Amino acid sequence: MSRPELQVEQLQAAFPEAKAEAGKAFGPELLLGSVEQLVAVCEQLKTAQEFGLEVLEDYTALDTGEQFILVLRLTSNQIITRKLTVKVSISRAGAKVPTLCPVYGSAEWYEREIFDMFGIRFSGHPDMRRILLPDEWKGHPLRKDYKDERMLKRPGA
Amino acid sequence: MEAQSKSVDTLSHPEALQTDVITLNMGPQHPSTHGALRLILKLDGERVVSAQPDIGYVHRGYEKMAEAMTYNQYIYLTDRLDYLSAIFNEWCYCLACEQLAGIEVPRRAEYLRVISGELCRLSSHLVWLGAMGMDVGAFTPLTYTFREREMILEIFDLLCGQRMTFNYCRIGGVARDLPAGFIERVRDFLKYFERMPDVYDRLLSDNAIFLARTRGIGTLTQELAHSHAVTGPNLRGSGVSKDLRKDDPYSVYAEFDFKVCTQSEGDALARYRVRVEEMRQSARIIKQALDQLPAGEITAKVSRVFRPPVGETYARVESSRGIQGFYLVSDGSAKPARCRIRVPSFAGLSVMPKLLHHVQVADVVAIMGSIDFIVPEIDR
Repeated sequence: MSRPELQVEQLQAAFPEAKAEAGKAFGPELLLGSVEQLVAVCEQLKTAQEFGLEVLEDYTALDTGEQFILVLRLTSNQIITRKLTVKVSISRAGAKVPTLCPVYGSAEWYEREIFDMFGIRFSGHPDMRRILLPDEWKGHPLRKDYKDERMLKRPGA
Repeated sequence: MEAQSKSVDTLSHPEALQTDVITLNMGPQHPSTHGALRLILKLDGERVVSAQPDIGYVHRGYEKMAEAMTYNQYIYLTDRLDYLSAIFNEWCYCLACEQLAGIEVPRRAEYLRVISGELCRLSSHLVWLGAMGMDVGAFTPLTYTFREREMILEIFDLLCGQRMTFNYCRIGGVARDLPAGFIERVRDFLKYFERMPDVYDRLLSDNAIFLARTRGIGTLTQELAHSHAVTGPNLRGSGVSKDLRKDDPYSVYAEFDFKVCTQSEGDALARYRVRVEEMRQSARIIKQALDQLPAGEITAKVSRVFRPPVGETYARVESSRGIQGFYLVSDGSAKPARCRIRVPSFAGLSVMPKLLHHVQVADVVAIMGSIDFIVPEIDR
């Protein structure tokens, strides 16, 4: 039985093209160099005996103003304290992100939500529609540059 | 047109029967969807060919709203995510804020959070139990469970002046200490409640109709549960012993003696059994927490304007429906730069199209009831 917590060195050795760090929020952090690696890395994290991260607990995005960051939280249902954060930066201008649906079933709805809120499209997704907002909605609200004339200004803001 | 107006003997001419797949819209207003959820069912006779949930009817833009509010202003809003177990939302949000700023919560406050949280879990499971019984045609359990739930809501009324949307947790602790007579009131309730799970057992667990409606229905395999990130009682009903209170203890849960309830079958009946057993365990935890309740402060020293340092965190708690998570990103200002809410029901519902595949249309209601999702939490 391997140790419950994933080690930074172990991750770095398995994924030399990525950067492993001791994260503070949720297990170690694996920062991918490019989004093209995402599916292969997740596939390995899920199936390889030494990782066994078969649960995509959360998948979301972050708008820093200059770029988007995709944030994935992976856990295991066998070795329960094991957790890992995977992050990858993508350009704000229409980056193509490969879908994770073949690897994780939960990715289908998470990716639809990311598309809905950030406008990031996932190639190969079986059903790339909005999920929470109506189909005719304009814009993607969680982008920092989102404008809506109905938005209220708070006094003093 | 003419062919339709003529009466055709469909016994000798079965080809004249219109046996196309029909589409049935279930919801958004439907008594069994427990909120504004629309389910698009394609039916071949009595059998479901495909089921597609359509969500977003009560989307309020929670994650966007957080970016325009200060950290403290947002606490009361989190109550309205999973309104049946509101404490867990507040608790998880405050936990994330505390992690961001490195705040140590006083032990008494942790105990008060555990007591109110477990009472919340009880009341949430009671609502579920009544609704689940009603979904499969047993009305009586609802009248029992709502009676007990009312007692819990009155305890909450005493604690924080609210019955459902408590606004009780604060960053660094809780809003107020226990009122006079609270402990006795909870003890009296626990004494009364002790035998109730057995009563529910007699009403439902051995009821032939209930068993027929739930046994072997909506079986959630472990593979499906892993793949769709299903958590909480639904996962434990499939034989995976995962409970953050035990496996990744936060707050003071490590100090209590309780069991993680699992069942291996993964069907609606297994999920039912897990929840009934969880009620017994929650009552045990509350009892121990009352016995061991330490004296002291109920809130840490936190400045009135809460400005956490630049950084990010992801806090998780085990709510009554599974793993609730808050991902907060701070840019050093008084408002979060990003607030992401991970809710258990979202994953629980995303598995629906697979669970409902090829089931009888009458079982749709039983399966949805047994998954125990809550729509305002999914839509956020």
